[in-house]
Amino acid sequence: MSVAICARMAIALALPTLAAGAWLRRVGVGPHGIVGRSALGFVLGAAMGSLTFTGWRALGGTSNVTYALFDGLIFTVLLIAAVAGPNSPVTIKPSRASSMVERTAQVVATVSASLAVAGWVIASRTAPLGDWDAWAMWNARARFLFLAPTTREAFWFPPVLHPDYPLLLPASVARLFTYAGGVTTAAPAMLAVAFALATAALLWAALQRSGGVPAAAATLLLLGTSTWLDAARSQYADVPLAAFVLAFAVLLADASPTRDAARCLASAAFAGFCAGAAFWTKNEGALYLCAIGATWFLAGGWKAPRLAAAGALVAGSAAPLFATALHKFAQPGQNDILAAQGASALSRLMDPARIAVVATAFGRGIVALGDGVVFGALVVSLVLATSGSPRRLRWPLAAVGLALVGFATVFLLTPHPLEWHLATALHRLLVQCWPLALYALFYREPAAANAPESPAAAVVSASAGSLAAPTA
Amino acid sequence: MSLPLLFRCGAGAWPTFPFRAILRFMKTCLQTRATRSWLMGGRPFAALALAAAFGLAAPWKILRVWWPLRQAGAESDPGSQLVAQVEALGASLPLAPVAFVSDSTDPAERGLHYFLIQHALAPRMVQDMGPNVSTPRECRPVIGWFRDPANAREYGAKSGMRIVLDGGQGLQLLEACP
Repeated sequence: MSVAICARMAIALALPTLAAGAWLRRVGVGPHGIVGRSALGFVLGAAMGSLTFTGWRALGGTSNVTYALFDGLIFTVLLIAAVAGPNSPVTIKPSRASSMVERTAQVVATVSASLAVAGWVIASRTAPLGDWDAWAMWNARARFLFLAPTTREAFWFPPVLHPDYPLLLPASVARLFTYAGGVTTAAPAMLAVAFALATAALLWAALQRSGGVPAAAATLLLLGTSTWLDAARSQYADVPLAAFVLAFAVLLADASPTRDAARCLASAAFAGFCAGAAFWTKNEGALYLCAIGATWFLAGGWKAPRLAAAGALVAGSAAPLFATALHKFAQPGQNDILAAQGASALSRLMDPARIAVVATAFGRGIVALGDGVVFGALVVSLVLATSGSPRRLRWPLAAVGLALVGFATVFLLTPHPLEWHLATALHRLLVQCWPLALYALFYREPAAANAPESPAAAVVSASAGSLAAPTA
Repeated sequence: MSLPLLFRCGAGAWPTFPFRAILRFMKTCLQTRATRSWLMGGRPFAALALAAAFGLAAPWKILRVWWPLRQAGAESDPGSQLVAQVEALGASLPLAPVAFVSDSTDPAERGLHYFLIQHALAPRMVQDMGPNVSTPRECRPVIGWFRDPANAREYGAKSGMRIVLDGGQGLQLLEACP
């Protein structure tokens, strides 16, 4: 593969990232700093790119250089619009000198991330097709989307390729194929590494407000989860889904009524977009949308600002949900699990033997995840926890619990052999919610942020190019 | 009393071991402000050390697993070679459904080959014709995966269809559909 092809694919990834990152900065949403904005920008940009590509193909366009120009133009215009417009008022946090332990933590996390990237690159070059589901389904469907000459053929998938599965990952890979000018195994590999790295970076950036050490510890624990590293290398859709789920929760945590109303609504709208993108990635995304949305809403109660934020969340999710709904209605086949439900579903659900098998498998799966990293995370979070002052976010942990209950229900209802289904799917489901669980375990609201922002807070208007100095 | 002496003395020496004195000493140490402060200050380091143990071990493990495979060369992933070969053959086929036949009796192997060929021949639909390869149902391009080259030739003679053979000689197009 030539350097030119790599460069074209890098541009395909960078343009939406820059555009989304610039908009995040403009509206003052998401984690502060270039790492957080880049990570969140990549996650949002990937979803926007996949929607653009799908829309283009659905409207009769072909995957050629015209699309690459069209796509590049859209994201360039978005980027210019974000950079040229006035930035929102940005709260400048008083800068805090990082201690030696924080600096050490950053160095160790960087070393860990570098090792992980090296491992992913070597693994991708050794097994360029990824693992079973990647080449047999996700990347095969990307080839349909890219290679088919007509719209009908592009969106027609053989029944063995699970035609009802959503299209974010295949469309993103096909978009990279279009930029590359042909099918290349580097496209899905590059996307897989980028999503994995963005998830780790987003976790690190989102936890910065809890302190440098918890942020680095959570990132190290994520990068120290062998199951998660392997899922990233496999080019499966679980790591992209994990990224959207984490982004959804991080943005929702930002949509706090204690912040100013406009930014609260903007955060909720971006969170909604991530929630819709999660469903546009995998069917499990629907469960996360409900679990995270419900726990967040119930944690805040029926108050007017929360209702307004919920409305913004729904509005933000409209585009990816619309695309998912269109895709689902257009596919003739039903989901294999839903199609098999009938009169026997209730008996399967209430079968004590099945419940015992599922409960045991979940227990073992959680203990075995990443060679016992769950215990490591619990110990590290307990050691770092200080009694009393800092406030924890309980709803993301409740959302993880609710999602696990939902998955257990699906396993109870599955028409497939239960042991086989658990053995092949459970570890991937745990991978999906692991970054969110780490975020929930390590998030501590700083004591100063518990109170509503006071008028005396250093709110300054940042200029388009740079942040102004704090006035306080 | 030193530890080696303790072991040499055997069980009879246990009661003389100054457990209480050591515990008292530790308690005194823990009660001093300096020690408590040192322990509390060391807490982030301890947490970080535990997280770093995980964070460095797992990426190192993935490197340790995949680096030797990479050194072994492309043979570690025969799937991508097959896909490339079928892709090249597929370039000569029209964009029409393709049938897949195989003399393999192992469902896992059949499935693997079928999905690799479906991947390589996208956006054509590859239809698995089932284990019975002796009775082709209709004339269409056929991709076959035969362990036994004789089987492939016999099938080709009967059907007059396109056959791709893997008989240890790589893949090759034997006959064209009339």
